[in-house]
Amino acid sequence: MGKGRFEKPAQGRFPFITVVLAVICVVLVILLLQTCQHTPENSSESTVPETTVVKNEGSISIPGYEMLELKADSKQQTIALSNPPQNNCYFEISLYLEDGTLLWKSQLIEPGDATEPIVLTKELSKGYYPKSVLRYACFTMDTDRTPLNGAETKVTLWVK
Amino acid sequence: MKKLFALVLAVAMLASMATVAFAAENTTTKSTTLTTTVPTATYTLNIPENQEITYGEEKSFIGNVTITDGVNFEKGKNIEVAVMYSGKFEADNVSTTIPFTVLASQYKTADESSSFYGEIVISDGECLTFHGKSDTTVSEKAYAEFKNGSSSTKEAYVESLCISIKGENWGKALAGEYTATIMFTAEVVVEE
Repeated sequence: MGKGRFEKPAQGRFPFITVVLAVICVVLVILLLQTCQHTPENSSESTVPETTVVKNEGSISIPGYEMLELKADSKQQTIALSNPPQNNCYFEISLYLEDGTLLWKSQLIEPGDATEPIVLTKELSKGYYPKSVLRYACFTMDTDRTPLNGAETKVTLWVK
Repeated sequence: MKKLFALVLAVAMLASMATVAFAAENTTTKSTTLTTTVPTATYTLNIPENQEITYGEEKSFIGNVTITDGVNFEKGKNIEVAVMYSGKFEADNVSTTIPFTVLASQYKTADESSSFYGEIVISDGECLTFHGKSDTTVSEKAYAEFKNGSSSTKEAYVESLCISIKGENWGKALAGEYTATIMFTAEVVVEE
């Protein structure tokens, strides 16, 4: 059997190619890192659109409901009521039965905020309570707290 | 054997008749309860905030009452907004008052082809009606009708409310800072 030929690599050529390849790799890594630093996700100026609220000019927005569900035989409820973010006034919200019985009254609520889950002044038995009233008293947000136009919405309380 | 078989058949026949008799006397009735839930309508009532009325002005526009974000309405399921007010401006430590009236005064025709000025007095407690629509929303503006004699009716929507103060009432008021508030009461109603 004849012996095969084996050609030794040229001296000095292999290390040079290695160095060149290493340099190219380093350059690519550097370019990649620089690209990542300038991508929108990593830039200091966020391009994720933020939800902006268009504030009312000269008007007040009052939420209205045909019906609200309440828990029977319990003063502690799970519902909370809010002041829409587009308003420029405080809300003070009150809930009354048709006969004028006050069930709940809030503190001043800022625009965009909601109350804690409401706590009634008395427990209600199961049933429907039509023509109950949510009364919205509105006030300026300066130190005067000047009363503004207000609103009421009639609502049926479904207690179950 | 035949006699025995005939006797068995006779007994079986008697037994089946008794069963029929029992069935006639022990009738039971079953029923099925059907339920459906009508979803709650919700909406946003938008009212004029506060307006500075210029001294001496007999007509001052104060904005409009509108309904937005209506959900779960239908034709025939409307919102009525009652407009309640005392009818007079008052000032602390001042004996005089300034009477006023609320008017619905600026309109757009139902087909939105034109705007026009008209006056409908909204008395204390009177209602503006916002009609529910078949697409489950509700009209943004209040509905109004203008009659030309007895012949025709112009349908329109309210574009603006107005405070009307007679000139003579301005003249009878002593100096001071007068205020008045208007309360709007909204309710979901169904047409009869």
